[in-house]
Amino acid sequence: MIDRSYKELLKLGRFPHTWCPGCGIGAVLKNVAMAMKELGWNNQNTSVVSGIGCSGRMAGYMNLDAVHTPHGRALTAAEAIKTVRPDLNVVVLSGDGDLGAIGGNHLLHTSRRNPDITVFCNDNEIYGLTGGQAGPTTPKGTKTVTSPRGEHYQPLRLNRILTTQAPYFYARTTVYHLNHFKTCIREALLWKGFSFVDIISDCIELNGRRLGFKTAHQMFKWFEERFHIAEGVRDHLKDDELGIAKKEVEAEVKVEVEVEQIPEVQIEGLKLFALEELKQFDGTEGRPIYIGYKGKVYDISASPLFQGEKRMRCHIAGKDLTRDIEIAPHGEELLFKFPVVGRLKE
Amino acid sequence: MKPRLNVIWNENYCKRCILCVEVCPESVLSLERDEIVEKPGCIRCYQCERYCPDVAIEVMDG
Amino acid sequence: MKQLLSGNEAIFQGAIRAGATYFAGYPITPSSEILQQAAALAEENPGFRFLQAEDEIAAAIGIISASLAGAKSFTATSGPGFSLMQEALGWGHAVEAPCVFVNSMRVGPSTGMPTQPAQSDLLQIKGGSAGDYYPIAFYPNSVEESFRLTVTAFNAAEESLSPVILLVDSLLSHLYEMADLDAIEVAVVPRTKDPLGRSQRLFTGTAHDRMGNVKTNDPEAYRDWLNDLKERHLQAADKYPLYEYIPRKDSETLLIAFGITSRIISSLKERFSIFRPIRIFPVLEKELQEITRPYRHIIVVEGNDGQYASWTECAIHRKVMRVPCLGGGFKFQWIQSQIEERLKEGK
Repeated sequence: MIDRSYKELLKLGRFPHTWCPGCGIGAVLKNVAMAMKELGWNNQNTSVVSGIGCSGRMAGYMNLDAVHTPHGRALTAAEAIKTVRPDLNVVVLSGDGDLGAIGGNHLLHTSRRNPDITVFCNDNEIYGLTGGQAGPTTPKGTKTVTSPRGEHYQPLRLNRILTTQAPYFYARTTVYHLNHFKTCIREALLWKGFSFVDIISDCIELNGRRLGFKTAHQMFKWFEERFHIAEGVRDHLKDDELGIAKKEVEAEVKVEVEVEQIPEVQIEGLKLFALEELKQFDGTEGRPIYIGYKGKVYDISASPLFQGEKRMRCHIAGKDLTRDIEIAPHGEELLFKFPVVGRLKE
Repeated sequence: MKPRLNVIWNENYCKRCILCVEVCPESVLSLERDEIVEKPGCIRCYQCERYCPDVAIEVMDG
Repeated sequence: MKQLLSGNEAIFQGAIRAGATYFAGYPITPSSEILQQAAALAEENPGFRFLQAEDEIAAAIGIISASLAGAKSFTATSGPGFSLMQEALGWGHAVEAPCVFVNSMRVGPSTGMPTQPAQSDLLQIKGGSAGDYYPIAFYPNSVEESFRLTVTAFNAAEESLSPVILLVDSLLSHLYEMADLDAIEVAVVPRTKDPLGRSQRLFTGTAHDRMGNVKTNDPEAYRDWLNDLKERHLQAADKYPLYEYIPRKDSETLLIAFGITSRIISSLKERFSIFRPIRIFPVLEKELQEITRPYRHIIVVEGNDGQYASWTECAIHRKVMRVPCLGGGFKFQWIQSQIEERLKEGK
């Protein structure tokens, strides 16, 4: 048995859809609709946004209020819709050229602002609708109509761009690895925040044939050779890995502004150290470590940082460190837990 | 159109990309004279239906 | 209570009065104060949303999308930013999204003179985006009128279901005048378009029929759709045939000026008749034809090289004389001497 209720989310009256035979976009559309249906998303709580290109036509086949934006602007539109209507689930259906090239700036900044939207990128590594020109994700060396001797430049590595600062959700999957594909879609839809699914997809007519493939299935086999599934949740994905890289928001380091009381220490009557004398107490040969600070001598032998060392980074044992501590990134409070053993001679 | 054994094929939605033919582990499907034809031997794995990008093929329930 | 307000402040207040709840923008002289006020308001009032976008493209797409989602939205920019917004402007007309673009004009082309006023983005409004569309644009000439016309622009947007442009210039943006905005009564047209999340509509910039079905090879469906749109825009614009006409009986000369230029030449009303179009687009053809008829000379004084003069000639089928105030040069004495010169030469 297979659940076919997802068809309610598709405008079947307009089928067969506009894409070429064997095109991966149909699979993206179908599987996204399935996942939405499973989650109970419908035209009362969901809106889809798409860009331009073959993939941009996906929005028009969904039984939802859909927005078909100019080239590259799907993310901006989705973010604005989510801002105004937090009650709506907003899903972006677009492609690699749209999101990575003409909408590249919006990709950087929308992901930075982290709105709660889900992006499905039909990444077929080519500009299909316009006739098979090299795109931002076309692998180096690939022959296309605008790179007749092979693409000159490195492709855009979305996996690296989108996983630089938490929180992020980046998944890479293919239209061939169906179970994996479905898992990625579902997890992305459920992720709170900006989630991006990079779906390696086939453009058989305008890319595959030039590469020597005869059918979509042959391209699928090629995906199987090029990629392998990385199990478990990763922080980052390598270029040949399929999987999910995600990271929750990093806990913000709170700067506590507690004013510590400087302990009053009676130093009258304690031993008076000259700087020359202090030098001996540098921790070598079993002697304690003393340092001078603002006229007092502290015994910092117990400091784990100085253990067995004459120096800790730039601080040298057996010296007056008043000036050092003033310019150090930490304050003087680190010293106060150590016992005062004497006075420092002016 | 030949009678169907296990799969329902939607002629209008189908674009003849033959993905179903190629993913079938038992090779029971084939494209003959512009039609998807089914031989006996279907193991009801649903691969053709799952992979079809055009919602054009369904494995009959039951 | 009377307050000393700048044009930019009055525009922002007008937008709030009209019910705007979303602003997206990108900093640009001389409209940045509107962006800053929006940011400040969003901090205090969670019902008002604000986005400082990564560029004007995103800002413009943002306000149109926000409008489709159900918010009254607006943005503010200047010439170079408005150039980037052209793509979205065309899209806004195609998806029929009511919203307001404020363009505070400065000297162009390109970066031009960022702090100097101009009136040179008229053609950009009319034809900057691809294809045919029928924009509505208003141009005030005082702080108080900036407030009123902002509300009017929002109303016209709701009625025409399209992006409406409010033109100002950098002089007007930064002009301070006393105004009592609270005492001004304005009618506000409520939102009637259904927001997203209700049905199965497709909002697309691709050619489509009335139902939103994509039709890329059907001239008839396209014509139907475009004619509908045109008619709706012209009807909405017809509700606001705004202009100011100060006739002088013994004058054979009519000066046409708008925005800040009309303020600068206003003292010439003792000698000439003055016509000030407030609705810049669609061009006030009927009004221009009637009002210009009795005059021997028509002189268009504007902060560009004859953009409105050309439209006037088209509308009245007569040659007009031009006084282009270029490069931010709006000196009264200079304008006056130019007018005298034109009248002496008769061209």
